[in-house]
Amino acid sequence: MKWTFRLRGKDVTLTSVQSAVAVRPSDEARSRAASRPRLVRQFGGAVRDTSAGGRFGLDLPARNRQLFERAGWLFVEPKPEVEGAAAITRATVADAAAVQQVFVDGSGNVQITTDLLTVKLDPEMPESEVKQRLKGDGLSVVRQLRFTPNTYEVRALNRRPLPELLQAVQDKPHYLFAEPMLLQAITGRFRPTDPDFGRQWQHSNDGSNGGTAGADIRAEQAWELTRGRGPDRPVRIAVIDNGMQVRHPDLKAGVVAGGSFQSGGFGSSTFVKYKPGATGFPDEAHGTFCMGMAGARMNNKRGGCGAAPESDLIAVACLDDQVGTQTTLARAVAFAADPTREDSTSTAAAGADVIACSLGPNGADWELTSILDIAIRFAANQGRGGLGTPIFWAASNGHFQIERDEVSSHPDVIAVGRSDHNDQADGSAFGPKLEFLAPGVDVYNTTSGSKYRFWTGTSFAAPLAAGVGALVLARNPQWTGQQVRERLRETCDKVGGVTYNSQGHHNEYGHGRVNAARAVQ
Amino acid sequence: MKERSFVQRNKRVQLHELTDLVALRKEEAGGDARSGSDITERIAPDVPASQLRAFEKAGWVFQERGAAAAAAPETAQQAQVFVKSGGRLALGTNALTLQFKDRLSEEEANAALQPYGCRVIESLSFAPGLFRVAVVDTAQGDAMDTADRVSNSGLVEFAEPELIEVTGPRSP
Repeated sequence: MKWTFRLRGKDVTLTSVQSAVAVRPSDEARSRAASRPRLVRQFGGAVRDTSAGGRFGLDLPARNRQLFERAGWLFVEPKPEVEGAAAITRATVADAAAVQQVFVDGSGNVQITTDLLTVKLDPEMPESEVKQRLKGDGLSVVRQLRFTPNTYEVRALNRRPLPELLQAVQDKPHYLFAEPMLLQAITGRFRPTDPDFGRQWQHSNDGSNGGTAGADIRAEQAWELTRGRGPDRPVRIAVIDNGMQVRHPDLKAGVVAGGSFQSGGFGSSTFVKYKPGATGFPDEAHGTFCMGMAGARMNNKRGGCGAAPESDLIAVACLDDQVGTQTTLARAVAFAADPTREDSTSTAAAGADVIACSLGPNGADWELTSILDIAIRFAANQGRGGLGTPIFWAASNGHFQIERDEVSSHPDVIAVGRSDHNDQADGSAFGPKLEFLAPGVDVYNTTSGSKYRFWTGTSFAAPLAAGVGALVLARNPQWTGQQVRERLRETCDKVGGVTYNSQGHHNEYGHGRVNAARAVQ
Repeated sequence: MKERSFVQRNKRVQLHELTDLVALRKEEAGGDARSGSDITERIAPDVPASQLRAFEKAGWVFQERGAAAAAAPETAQQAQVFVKSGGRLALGTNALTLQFKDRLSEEEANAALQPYGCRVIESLSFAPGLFRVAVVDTAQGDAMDTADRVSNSGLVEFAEPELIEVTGPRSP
């Protein structure tokens, strides 16, 4: 059931959780009950979790549930009389201090109803008339809110469905506003303590660096739910690049495996397995930055962090001199998805859950060889034990038709363009195959020499989006690669002030700018 | 200059071969070898200088075919020089990637490829019948010609020449 009402002049729609009501047992009932299950049974049945992600009912986030339960609420599959009471203001149930309906908002946050409204009447209206009007409308004053004239917290006088009561009040012209008081979990916003986090507008843009507040991937909200560690293990992100400083102080704790394909001169390359702690791995600033965008560590008193700071990182270096064949790149992609393809001592289960690659020419044209085509299809379809490994690839920088780059426009590749700190597209390849944008202009992260810098390129948008893909998989470890792709696509913010087509796509913005908070809900 | 082409993913890719130039590995051409002084100008009309620099940084030098033959040791391998659309440089190799229609062992693959002057370098394990092969007998043509002949043999799903190209970071 949907409930739509006006909030600050705009329609807000909540969806009721049909299978659950919220009960706040009386103190007496709580002290009397021998156990929590017994307490629940007084009001109905236990609400069962319905997925490994710990959600129940209508996609109710487990974290929300825990916060309300800590505050003394129980979620129950209600007995009929309990269900009936929840729908009516001022209704009572034995042993309950309150019984209320449960709704979720568009972001999946739980909202519990109350019998209370906040209302504001004409500031010039005399107090006696205000009280008369409120009584006539079936409301009693709970308290006056004195920081603004004629504003009150009120309660229904009679038993009545809350939506019906609110509608009746909102229709009266003498109210400047009338809004329901809903209980929400309002927690401190998670904010990393990394000293340079304030420079990373890509995660949280407050507008202080010259950009537009909110032109970011909403990382802090997402991190309240996950930072890349799934229920059983961290999600693994493979970053394929010319090389990376695997012992960078902000990366090394995350790098769990890897390999390099070292050039033999005339197109051939030799695979060398990387074990964490070993020296001699190819080190390139670009790859170091890409890896940081995906998964630089959080709260370690250094630099900033990546999109999935608790993921595991797999370092894959190929074409270390930036010159080579697509066969080498193909081997790198296949290795990332299934290490046994190069390393017989490894296991397929040690493969990456997400692949990010930001290599390619910066011009318009890049012809895809059959061998790289096969490797991409192998990873996207056979990776993760057949669930498929989502592959994020940087679209070309420059105003080119993306189809001319047959690699990033491959059907199994998620092509990522770059947006700036005003949520504007910034010169990536364009066209129907552009999946979406992510911040990639003057973004801040790790670079070689154990340093940090600002840098620009689709190169950096792609691993940032890959990090968001890892967050989605941390919440939904059984999802296919295609499901991850669709989730990211459908939760993008439609930025840029442009008109998106009926499929929600725009040639220069793709499906919009990635929104991690919505993606992980 | 010579027009060349090969088939890649069922499409014919057109490119120019700069027939009077070759590329050599610097270490094979001699420690002090450099690209010929007028080479940049000769390649430059079609090719961005950044492409040339990327190859040179990776240890390649470009020389006149005749001059290279005279100066470089006999053992030095020479790579053909191609220009692809958009002014991208590509160097030829003697290698192909191919996929047999049937699942063949390395031994069977070598036998099947023997009439085409090829032998297996390595098998690639992420799809059945996938091999990197070297053209060891160039009497009937280079890797591009051989790729065409093997493609037309009916034995393979595809056979494509390996080209060495710039594949660098996507940051402007």
